[in-house]
Amino acid sequence: MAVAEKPTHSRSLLFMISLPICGVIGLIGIIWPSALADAVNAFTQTVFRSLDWFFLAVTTGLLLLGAWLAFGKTGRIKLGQPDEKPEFSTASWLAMLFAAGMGVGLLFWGVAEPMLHYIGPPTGVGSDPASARRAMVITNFHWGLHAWAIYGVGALVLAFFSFRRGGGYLPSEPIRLAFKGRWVTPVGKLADLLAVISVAFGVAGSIAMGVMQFHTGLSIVTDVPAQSIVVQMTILGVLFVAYMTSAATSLDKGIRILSSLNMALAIGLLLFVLFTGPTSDLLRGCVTAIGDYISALPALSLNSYPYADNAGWLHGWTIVYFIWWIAWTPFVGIFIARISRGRTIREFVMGVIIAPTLFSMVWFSVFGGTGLQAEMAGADLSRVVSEDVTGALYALFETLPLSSILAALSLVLVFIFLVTSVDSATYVLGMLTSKGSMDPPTSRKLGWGVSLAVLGGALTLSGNIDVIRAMAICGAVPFVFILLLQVGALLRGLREEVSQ
Amino acid sequence: MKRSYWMLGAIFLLGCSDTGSKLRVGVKSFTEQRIVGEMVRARLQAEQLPVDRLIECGTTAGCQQAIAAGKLDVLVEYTGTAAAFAAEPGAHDFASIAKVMRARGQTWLAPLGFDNGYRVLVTPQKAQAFKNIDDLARLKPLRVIAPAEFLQRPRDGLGALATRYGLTLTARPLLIESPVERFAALRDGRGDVAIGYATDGAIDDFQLVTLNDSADFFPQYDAALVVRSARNSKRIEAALQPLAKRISTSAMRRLNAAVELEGMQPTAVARRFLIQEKLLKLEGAVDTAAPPLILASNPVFAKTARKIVREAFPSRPVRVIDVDSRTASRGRARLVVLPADVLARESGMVATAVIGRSWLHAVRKTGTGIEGRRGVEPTVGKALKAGAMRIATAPELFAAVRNGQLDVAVVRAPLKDAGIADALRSGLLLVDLPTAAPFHQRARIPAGTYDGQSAAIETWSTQMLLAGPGRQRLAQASGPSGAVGGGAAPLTPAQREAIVRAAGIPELPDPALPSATADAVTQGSGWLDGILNLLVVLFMIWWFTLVLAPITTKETDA
Repeated sequence: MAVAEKPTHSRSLLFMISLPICGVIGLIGIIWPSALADAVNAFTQTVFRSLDWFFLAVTTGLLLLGAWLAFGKTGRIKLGQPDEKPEFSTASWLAMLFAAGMGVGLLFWGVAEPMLHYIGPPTGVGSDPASARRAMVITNFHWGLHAWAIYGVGALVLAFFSFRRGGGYLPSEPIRLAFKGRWVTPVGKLADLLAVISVAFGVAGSIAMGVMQFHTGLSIVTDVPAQSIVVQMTILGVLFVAYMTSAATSLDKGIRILSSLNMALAIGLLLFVLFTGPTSDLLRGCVTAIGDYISALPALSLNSYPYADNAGWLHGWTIVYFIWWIAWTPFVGIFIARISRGRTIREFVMGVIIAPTLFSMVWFSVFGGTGLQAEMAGADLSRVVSEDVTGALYALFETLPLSSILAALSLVLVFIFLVTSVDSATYVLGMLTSKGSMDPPTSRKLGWGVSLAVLGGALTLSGNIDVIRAMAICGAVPFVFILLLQVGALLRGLREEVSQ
Repeated sequence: MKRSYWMLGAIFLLGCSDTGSKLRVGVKSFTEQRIVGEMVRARLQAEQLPVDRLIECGTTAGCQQAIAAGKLDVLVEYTGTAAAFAAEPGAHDFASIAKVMRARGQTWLAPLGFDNGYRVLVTPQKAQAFKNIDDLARLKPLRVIAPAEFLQRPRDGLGALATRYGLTLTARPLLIESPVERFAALRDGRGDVAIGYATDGAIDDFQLVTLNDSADFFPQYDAALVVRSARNSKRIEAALQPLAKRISTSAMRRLNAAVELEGMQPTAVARRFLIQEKLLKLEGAVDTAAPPLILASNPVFAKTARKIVREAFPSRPVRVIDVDSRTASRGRARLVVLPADVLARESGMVATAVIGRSWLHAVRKTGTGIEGRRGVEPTVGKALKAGAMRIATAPELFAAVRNGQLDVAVVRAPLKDAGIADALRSGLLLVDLPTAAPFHQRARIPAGTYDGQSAAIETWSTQMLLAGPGRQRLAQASGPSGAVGGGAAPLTPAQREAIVRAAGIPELPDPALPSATADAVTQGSGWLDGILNLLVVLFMIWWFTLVLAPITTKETDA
């Protein structure tokens, strides 16, 4: 009843506008990669320099909002009809949202990030036990509550408006439903456009990078040549078949099964490293890291290093991370919203913010901790890490028993993470371009799957991923304001619910 | 005073501790001892001998008492110290000291290879005039900078040194305890010579030179491991024997510097050294000790660049790959040699040091000027590229000019480049190049630079730079959800310093280039900064009015 049936042409208009824009930018990126990357970098650097305080404040604000929503009066509101049951079991729900939200990054940064903070902390000299502890805190800060609060609140807005108010999943929907005024329509259209472009680019970039990383890993584990377009295209081909197969099946089968398999593999890898590594040291480190994180959280959350001369560090790490999470919100947010029907707001916040944070803390304690222990014992992993982040994981495996099996296993993991990401992306793009329908037609998903493969393949061939990184960050800057408007819409919506 | 309390405390603790069958390694309270002590522990552990953590036994006296009382199993000692402290008069060389100490229940293993005795040090400039300590007699008076202890030693201290070499000293030498401050004072000209230990980590940092002790005045302080004679001492000796003669004085200096100047942990420094020296195997034998450092350079500058990088990273093998236009940004090379104008277009790479200059050489078959069909190397700047044909290498370009496909070719090369010389010998001519190129300075190739070049040539020259990843690059490389690949951390300040020093060219990179040191500048950029912040604040005010506006008509929908 509340669903204002929008004329179809506005959606197809979105498609008609977004596709050429993607095409043109993609073409510029392939033909003049450095020019585009430089222009985009100049823009983001200026924005970071001036507005770093704002990004920190917004992110921390979202975290506080999440806590308030869960533990306040609104916690019991159900995302769906009052008597509705959750569509997915809690375990698959957690597995799916985790796989979509962090994915393959966790695998590579698990070793690399704590190591980089250990050798180059924001303040102080580094490479001493105090830096090791701080490295874990900083890493958890980047991958912990804040990251998931951004995703969580972004998803909650969509879930609330579509399950309680019967809107679609389009990013513009909450803004349209909650506000009035002449600005609403153009801003809504802009929001949808930004969302489609950023999802398409983010995922095409992911495909390109994923193929390159997988290739790197493969050349370390096997005798495959390290520079070969044939190999890369073969990987892309296999990836394409895999995600198209997954996309052709329903969400319930494809992504759910893959995510669960992935989580099982990831947990297996985690336990193996935990118990073959310096187990008690790792557990000690884990417990300590949780304590350190909790006590450092208030100060760290808002630390923009105002009187120190290292704002460059903040812009290079914390702000980039937060912007990255925001850049992925249109994609991950829609996906999380879609799989969360039937949960209360409190359940939702606990599941989307607290549970993944705990898991990533354990993950970093085990992988980062093993890396730091090896480094302190003289393995010199820091040199590997500072020259090639991708190599860190494999270098760490070499210090453990059964290293080649571990490396092979992690390659499988990278591959499945990639398939899950692209499959979810085809789903989200399909949905965005079919009136926000919950179950977009398979043909639409497959159409996007082909487009993504073509774009990703072109990027792989051009061999330049700087452009993609720069574009993703660049697109996220305006999306912060869209996100804030969505949050405003949610706050108004909740006020209405509570006052009723 | 403080030290003796400390020592008493240490001995007291030693007396109380009952560490069972674990071996106890004693070290005196300074860095070098801790590093060598950790090496001992690592070696013992590698041979399956259980070992306790390091026990700091304070001074020589404290350590000697502890080992005599059976509270320590291994000690790091110096021949000079033992000669002064315990040995009989006349016993100065290692063999006689070892003999005397054996009678006291200590086995002295073969020396480790470094000597940490006192040294007389001068700055590199002074080193050209002074080679031996004898030469210092020319300075009247001689200004000495020394640690206080050097004045107090009767037999090998300052007074004895002056007597032995006939030096005239200033009334009061400058006393500075910290080696870094002492050497800095020497560098600043506050003294003529400084006294330091041969293994002081800061010596290399200040590039100080040791004067020859031609009269053998300073006693040897050869470091050696001392094992207390006991039931299991044969196994301990076997485990420690491989260390003999493996740690040179310069290696020990580097290890000390790693702890004292770079703030690394003695354990890590010790183990890393042992792994590099193949004295210790890492679990699973990870081969991370020295992965090759990849340097991208064109063939012309490869030799120079390789030499500089070798010197700046002494422990690393260097592999040179050919530079292509985007090598650096693809993250395949850690360091890259680029001309200034190319570097300026390269995102994420920052200039570290100037390693030479490259000159634009315009050659043609006949005539002057650069009119006509022009060919350039792909990296040559935009101004010259307009309407030009791009050909990959200089020899191909020369060939094209020779066979008439092109009228003129422009290539980059250092002066007296062999390729250019060959081309000129084969009949091509150098011509003036009037067109300006960005990041190039007006330059002249003097007459006679090349065989048969009769007139000076007016052209342009630019800096060749060794560049590494900057901070900005890391910012782009960071990122979740699979955003990895080719991410490299920026060079550390110490690495940059080493490269600049090895390059030996005092010229700074063109200030218009992104440079490694300038990326810390973070001030907001004036008016833009103000406007952006104002917009954000206005947005937030508007946002609050939106959110807080009273809820009215919408309920009818719900």
